[in-house]
Amino acid sequence: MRATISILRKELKDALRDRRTLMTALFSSLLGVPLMLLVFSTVLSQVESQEDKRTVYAVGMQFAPELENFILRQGYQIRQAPEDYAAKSRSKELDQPVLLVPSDFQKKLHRGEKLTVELAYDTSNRQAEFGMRPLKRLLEAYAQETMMMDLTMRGISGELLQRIDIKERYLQKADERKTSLTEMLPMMVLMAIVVGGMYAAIDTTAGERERGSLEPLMMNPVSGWQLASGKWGAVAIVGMGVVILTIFSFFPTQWLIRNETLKAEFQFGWKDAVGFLMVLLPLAASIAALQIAVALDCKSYKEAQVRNQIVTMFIPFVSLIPIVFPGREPAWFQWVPVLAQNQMMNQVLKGESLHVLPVAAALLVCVAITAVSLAYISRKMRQVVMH
Amino acid sequence: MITVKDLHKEFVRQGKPSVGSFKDIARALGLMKKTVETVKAVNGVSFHAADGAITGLLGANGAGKTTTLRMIAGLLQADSGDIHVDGTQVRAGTYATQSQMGVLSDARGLYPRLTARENIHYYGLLHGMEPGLVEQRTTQLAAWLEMQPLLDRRADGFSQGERMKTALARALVHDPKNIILDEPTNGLDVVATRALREFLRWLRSPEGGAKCIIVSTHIMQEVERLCDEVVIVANGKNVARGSVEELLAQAQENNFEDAFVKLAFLQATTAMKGAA
Repeated sequence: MRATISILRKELKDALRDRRTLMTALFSSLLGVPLMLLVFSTVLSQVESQEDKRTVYAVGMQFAPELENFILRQGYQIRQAPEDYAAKSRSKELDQPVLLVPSDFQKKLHRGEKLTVELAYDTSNRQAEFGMRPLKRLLEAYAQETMMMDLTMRGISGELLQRIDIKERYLQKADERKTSLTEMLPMMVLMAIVVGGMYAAIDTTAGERERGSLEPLMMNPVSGWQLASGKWGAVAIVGMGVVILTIFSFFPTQWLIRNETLKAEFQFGWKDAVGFLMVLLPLAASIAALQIAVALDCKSYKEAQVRNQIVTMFIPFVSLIPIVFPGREPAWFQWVPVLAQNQMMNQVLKGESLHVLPVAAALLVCVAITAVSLAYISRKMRQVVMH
Repeated sequence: MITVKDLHKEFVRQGKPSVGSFKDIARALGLMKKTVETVKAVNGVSFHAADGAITGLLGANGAGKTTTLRMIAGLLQADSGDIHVDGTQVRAGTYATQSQMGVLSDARGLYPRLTARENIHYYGLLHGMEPGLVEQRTTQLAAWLEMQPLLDRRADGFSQGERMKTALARALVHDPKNIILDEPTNGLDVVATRALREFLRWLRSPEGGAKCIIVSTHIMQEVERLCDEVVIVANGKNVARGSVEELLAQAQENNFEDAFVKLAFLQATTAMKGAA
């Protein structure tokens, strides 16, 4: 036990002095989620700001005085679009789509012919793209109004066109929160855990071997089990540290979110944090054991890195499994590591409380992974230098 | 006391890589069996290293010195043969004999992010020593090896000599009875080499603990000035052994280098011719 603690302390000291390990752990835990939410909130704000800009850029508005009148009545301002609107839209100088009114607009309208107006925007200009929806809605309202007036003139009630009204009613639990943008969050957290502890795991096995310090280490009277448990302990502490930092990075992120809609969706409290910790700490510890096992018989840092990255690649895939099973979740989901955690995190984010059974099942799976990995590491640890 | 009897070790080497045909690519991907060749690294080495003596393992590059030492250290499984350390048989992968052994490996293998003191302490603790004793022993070794200024510097920027001193102190922290040094003077300057030689002589003396010391080297002067007993290794087997004087007499030469070349290479060739 004393040797195990000595190994753990040394490995932890070594990891904390390694810039590569430390930087990866800090970056993956502290930056991932805040950055993602910040990007989302900015995009959402852009969409919303386009909605309430209430200006219309147009070319040839003089050909459609009735449309102009309608737009002004809705409280919009009309601006003459610049001559070179195409170039300006491309260079993102113009951040709104441009309404193109044909010169025969008024004539055709009075004759009751079909009319076409065009909305011009550059597809690479996201801002202008966001502006399309409000502008379209405005024009559709105008089309509706003219149609209603035409029908009324002919003595037909407009009601006839809409005999059936459709209304949406949400079947939601009372305490359930709306989550759409935050659905990506669990995957980000899982990636942070896997990437965060990876370099510590590699450094303690393949890194040590590459530096030539593993062979002298084997000259000490310590068993494979002591080496395995000491090294795993250190990497698991780094991994669990990443989990804790990641979860606590949510709190300052909430203050950073400027967008009210997202703020309302993403409410992360202390209770949620405890739920996340309960789900993620065992997973981080078992991933640490797995990563050490994967890196163990690699001869170089690079080889171990490649192998571990292949393992890492599975994480996003596993999070995608639910797409294949739409509707009810099959019961075996809770026995699949990563997937189980993914589902439970989603539950927490939705404001539901966790059930004991799935949490226990996930814990059991994590313990099994750790035990198998550690058994393999302790058996193999002293043999890897023997080649 | 270390006794080595008729040690053998073969290594499997992969055939030279090429991408000439479909088969070669399949081999590289592990789909087909790779072409292998075996190399006899150690092919019958026997010697006895007594307590209170320095035994030199002398041989050219690739003669099998390091492989022999790794097997003595229990890091490598011998194909056949016996190794006894103070009467206990060495088994690879176990650590029954390791508490009585201090090994300075070729690669030194210090932890660059730890200070010299932390490097030494770590091994002391792994040997089950009390922290207070480790500290005391570190101070003592640092005084003997004249490395006090190094103790609290990180091993990252150490020179060859500084690395050797730290690794040696680390290997000796638990005061082992048997000391194995693989090419200890590699990369050391004259002053450092002389200091190391003095230190090893002291370890051999009764005041220093009358240690059993095995040194592998390919440098003639080292052997001449330091070793009580010399084992000349060539092509994986020991071709001659004895004190420097005995070997000179055996080869009928005055110069030790000439004696070595004669014993290591000429005799080996004649022996092979005789066998053929």
